[in-house]
Amino acid sequence: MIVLKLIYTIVGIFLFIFLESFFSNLLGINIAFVFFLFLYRKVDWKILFPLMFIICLIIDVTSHYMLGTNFLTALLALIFFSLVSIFFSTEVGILSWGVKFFTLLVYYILFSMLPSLFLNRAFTLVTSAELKNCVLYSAISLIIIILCEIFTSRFRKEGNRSNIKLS
Amino acid sequence: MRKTQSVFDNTYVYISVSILAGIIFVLLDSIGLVTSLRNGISYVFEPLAYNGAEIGTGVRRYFQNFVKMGEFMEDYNNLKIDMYEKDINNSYYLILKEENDSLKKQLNLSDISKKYVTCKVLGRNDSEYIKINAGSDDGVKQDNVVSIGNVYVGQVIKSDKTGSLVKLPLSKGNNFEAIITQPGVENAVISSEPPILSKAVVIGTGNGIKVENMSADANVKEGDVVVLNDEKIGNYLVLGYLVGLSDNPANTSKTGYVNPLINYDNLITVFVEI
Repeated sequence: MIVLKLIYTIVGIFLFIFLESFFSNLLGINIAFVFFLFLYRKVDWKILFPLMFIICLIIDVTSHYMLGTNFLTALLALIFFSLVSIFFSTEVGILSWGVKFFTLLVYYILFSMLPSLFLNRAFTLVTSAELKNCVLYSAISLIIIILCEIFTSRFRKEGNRSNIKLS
Repeated sequence: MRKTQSVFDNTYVYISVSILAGIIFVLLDSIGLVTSLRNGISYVFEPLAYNGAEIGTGVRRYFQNFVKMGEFMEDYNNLKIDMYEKDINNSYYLILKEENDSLKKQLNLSDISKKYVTCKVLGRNDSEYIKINAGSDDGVKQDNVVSIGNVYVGQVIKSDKTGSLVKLPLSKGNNFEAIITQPGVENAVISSEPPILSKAVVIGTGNGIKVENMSADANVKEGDVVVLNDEKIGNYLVLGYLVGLSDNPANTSKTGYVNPLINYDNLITVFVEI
């Protein structure tokens, strides 16, 4: 069983890296973070964080960033999400989408600043054009999250989101 | 309460450790201590990421083409307009060149002692006639001969105030006396009678020009030049080359066809002898 899980994980990582490169070039979005945000609180932290760490390290290498850049960016955005979730509902409804949208926006803004900060040791401000792009990428990413939620809700029992629907 | 506190503590520790790990990796990478790790990851995942990026870029370009369809249409229309403008300019220069060539030919090959009116062909009527833009106002009369240099084009059959109708040699019912001579005469002014290989009669058939009554003993061959020598025309004018020569020894005369020296479909500038 453990071997099977290991094989799934390795294949999943390969698929993830391919999708990340694909969507990064197609729409400019970081699909890895979109899935981390989607899986946040659906998957155990102890599983999600190590996976996130490995995937982010690989993406850093394939994107030629400093190792840890993606992980730190994603982590800061998730911390923002956790903090906001204290005040607003992040489970269901339009408000949760709003919170997720702002989390994604924070992520894309950080992502446009942190790589250059680590690579050049120079802090660059986000321009209005970059901000517009960040808003657009966040909107696209949010649509993907919503689609994923709609898709997975079909496999869940009504009234009990933690259990998979079997019939 | 205790359980909630414990989870919070664990999460807090997890996040702290994760941030610390991220910062450590950034620091280690900045001083080059994780190069071997980078190389290993790069070796395994770089081709996969490259392929993903290539496919993503390809798909994006494909969709961008749809998005930019309006721009493409506009570019296409602008190119079309540009092309038409160039065609117009090109046609204008071609007409000027044709006129220049015709005038040169007229000066070099025609009988300069005679008077000519330069005119343009307006169109072709029934494939046997052409309309020209010179009429009685220009001194053009019925039976005037139309030519380019020393080449016969036709004969005016109807002249109005500003235009005339010219009968081409291939018109049905046309018949002229002609001589068959050796090639070369078409390149010079024919002021006197050229060496005669045979006398003949040229007849228009509607879609061609037939040569009849050539002597059976005459030493004529394909490629010889057919020169009109008819009192209706008045002087020696070249019609074309002899082709399709009959080869029947039982016949008392030879027949053939004329391959005209000029293409009647592409005539623009012609000269009417007045």
